[in-house]
Amino acid sequence: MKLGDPQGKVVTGKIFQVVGDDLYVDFGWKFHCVCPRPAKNGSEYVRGAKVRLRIKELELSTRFLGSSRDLTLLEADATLVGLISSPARLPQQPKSS
Amino acid sequence: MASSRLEKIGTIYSRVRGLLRSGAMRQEDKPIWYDIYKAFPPKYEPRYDRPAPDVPLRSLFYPEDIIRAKFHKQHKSLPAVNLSDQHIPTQTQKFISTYNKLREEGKTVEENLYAAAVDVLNDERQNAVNVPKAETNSLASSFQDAQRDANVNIKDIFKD
Repeated sequence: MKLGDPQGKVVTGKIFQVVGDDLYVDFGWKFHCVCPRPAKNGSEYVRGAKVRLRIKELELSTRFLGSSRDLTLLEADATLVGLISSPARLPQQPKSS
Repeated sequence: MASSRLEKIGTIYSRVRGLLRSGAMRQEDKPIWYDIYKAFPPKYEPRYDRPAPDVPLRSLFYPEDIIRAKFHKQHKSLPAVNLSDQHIPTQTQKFISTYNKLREEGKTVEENLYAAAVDVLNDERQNAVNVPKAETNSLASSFQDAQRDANVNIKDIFKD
C-alpha cells in the first residue's frame, strides 16, 4: 500500500542469512529475496547489514507449460543498490581538531 | 480416515475432531479456533472440492490512487521505503497528505493543486537539508565546541 506499483521501487532490507556468495535479504514483505554478493566491498555484506534494494518482482511465480497452476519460488526478486550500514564496517573515528 | 491430516479429506474441523477423538492430538494442543468453530460453524463447509463462488470481483481503487500514480510517473526515483517501520511516512504518503490538506483548505484552484503540493514537498525537503547543518548534536562536535568556548577565568568563578 505504501509502494504503489512495486516494480522499480527502492526499499531498505536487512540481511538475515549468508550462504557463500548468496545474501538472503528480508525487506519487510511476505517473501525475502536472494541477491548475489556484489564485487565492491563484498566482505561488508554480513548477517545484520542493512542494504538498499530495487524491487523487480514481489513474487517469483509463473505457470509452466503443461501445468494447471502457477509454481512459486516463495521469493521476491530484487537487485542490490547499495549498503546502508554493516556491523562488519568499523565506526568511523571522529576527527579531532 | 479419522486421523488423517491430508487437506483433501473432509474439512479441517472434521480432521481435527478426528485427531482429538483418536488421541493423536492432545487436548492441550487443541487449536484456538476449534471451540469457536464448534460454537459458530460457517455458512458453507470448507471442503477441498468446493467450487469457487462466481461473484463479480470489485476493483480496489482509492481516490488517492490517481494522485499517487501521477506522482510516481513523474518522480521515478524516490527515497528508499522502510516497510518494517509503519510510523515513518514515505515520500508518497507525505505528498498525498499535503495534497489532501491543500484541497481541504480550498485556497488553490483544482488544476494547481498538484503543482502546489509538489512545491510544498520541495520546500520541506530544502528545509530538511538546511536544518541538520545547523544542529549537529554529536558528542564529538559538542565536546569540541565546549573546548573552544571554555574561556574559564579561575579568579572570576566565585564572583557573581
